Amino acid sequence: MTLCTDTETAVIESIDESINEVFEMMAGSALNRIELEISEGQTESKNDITVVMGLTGELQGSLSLSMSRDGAFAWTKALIDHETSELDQTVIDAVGEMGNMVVGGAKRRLTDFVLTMSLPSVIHAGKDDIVFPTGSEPLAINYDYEGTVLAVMIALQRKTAL
Amino acid sequence: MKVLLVDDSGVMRKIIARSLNSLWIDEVIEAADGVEALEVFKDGEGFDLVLTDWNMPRMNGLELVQAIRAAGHKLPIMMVTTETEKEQVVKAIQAGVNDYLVKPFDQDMLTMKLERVLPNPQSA
Repeated sequence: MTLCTDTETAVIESIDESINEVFEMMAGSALNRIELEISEGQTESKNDITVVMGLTGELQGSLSLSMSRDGAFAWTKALIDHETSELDQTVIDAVGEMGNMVVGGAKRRLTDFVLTMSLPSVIHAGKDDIVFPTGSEPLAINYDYEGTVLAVMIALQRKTAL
Repeated sequence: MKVLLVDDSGVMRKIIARSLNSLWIDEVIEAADGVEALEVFKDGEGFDLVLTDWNMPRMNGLELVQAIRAAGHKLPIMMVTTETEKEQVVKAIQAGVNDYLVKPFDQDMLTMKLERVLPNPQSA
């Protein structure tokens, strides 16, 4: 993430508060942050499903949340009591809504920045690397959710004046 | 009591509909965006409340509110959204939104907001 320390801290704190609020309020469970790492251009994902939320405005880029099938199933069950062993449309919608609420909550907390959020895009591409453009140093925050890893990838840059 | 619930997320519709049905709402009619909502709403006959998301494809919640108010309907409208910036809130109020429910929310928050715009007739 190519942001100054203050901004980087503000973004991490906003995500941290928002994700805990969403999981406590909507799924009745708290999350534990287990790891924080900065990677150069790509992050190895051990997860199956990812929701990408674009941000534009004074910070530009994306925030992605990535989780395993079991994590997605647990989230969907907690949210609407939907039990399945397939990544069906309901699970995909539930993961999309998680991205919407977590990033929406983070945006609400980043009061020093004018930001616009995209609609969620859910990617079901399996376990692979997620690659970011040159110059982007994505930051990954890993949380423990019901014994699975929920990874939040932050790839943002401050908008430069023309 | 009959509510028109508009959200492009089927999951969010399920969450809200389940909550409304556990309260004093008799019927929840669902629509996935503003265009579908207007088709269902028609002349508004029988509806007591519109609950709508903001960010949706085709026609967003703000445009839906504007269309309902432009047609002269005065029923309460609540926006269910993550958008809480002052500028956005002002736009929504100017368009005719009566109240806001910020996502994420729990049952108590939904009940409290619902009490404000559509009180339980049995507790009156």
